[in-house]
Amino acid sequence: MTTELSSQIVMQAKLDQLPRLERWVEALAVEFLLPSSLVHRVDLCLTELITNLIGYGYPVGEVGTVSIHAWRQAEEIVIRIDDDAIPFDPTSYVPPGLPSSLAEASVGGRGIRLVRHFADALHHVRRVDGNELTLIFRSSGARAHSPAAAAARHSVSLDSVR
Amino acid sequence: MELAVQDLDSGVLGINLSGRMDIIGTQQIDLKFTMLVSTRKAQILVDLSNVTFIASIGIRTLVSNAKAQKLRGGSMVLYKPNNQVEEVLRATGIDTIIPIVHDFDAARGAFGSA
Repeated sequence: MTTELSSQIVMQAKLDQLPRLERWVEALAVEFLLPSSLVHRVDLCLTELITNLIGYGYPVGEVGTVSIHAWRQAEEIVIRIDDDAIPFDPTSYVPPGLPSSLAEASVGGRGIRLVRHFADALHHVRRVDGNELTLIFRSSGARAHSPAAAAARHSVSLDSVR
Repeated sequence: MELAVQDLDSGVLGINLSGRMDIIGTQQIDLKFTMLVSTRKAQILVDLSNVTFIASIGIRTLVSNAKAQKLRGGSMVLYKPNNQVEEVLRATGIDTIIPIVHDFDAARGAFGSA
């Protein structure tokens, strides 16, 4: 693995830590010279996953620790999230279908759909003491012009890790 | 986040949201937004032009209040989201259940057809 740049944040899984995460992503954008569309996708996926972790990852009253490590690998940005939470594999979670009407629409349940839409690939490993989730992001140009990337985004990478 | 109210033409109630609509931002406006949108029948235009970011928790607030307003016989439209916010709304199919418009005439049309 050739790593040109890397950055890491270790935070408690608490809501008041989310602004720290937001600032870390902003710094990452500057350090890695990321285009704004890619920054937005990273920001959204991390916000969804960490909000999920805070809300559902731990027994009531417990606060866990999450470590997020980002690096550039060739043309990809790789982000690995290590937590000490209960097992959760977002690659095997099937989001509910899109609603056909407002009356039928569920109020919530859209976070993992967004992660799977905006990340190009997800890989989950269950560890003895937590989860290791790796997200891969390609630039918009690579996404748009590479059939392989598009295929990976929609099926191969996501399905192959289930 | 911040929320401001504006009386628009034709009896439309404008609600201007601004800021980052993640869990922290949404909690800051959720109660006031719900009081304005869900407690009486109205035509509501939610101006998203100053919303810089929306997460699923923000979508939850929009959808639950749009559903409540529809039950009251009114309607809600989403006005001028930026490109990234609109991409998130479309990725979750929100554009098919709550109209997204970019000018006031389109909003009027959406209210007429709702």
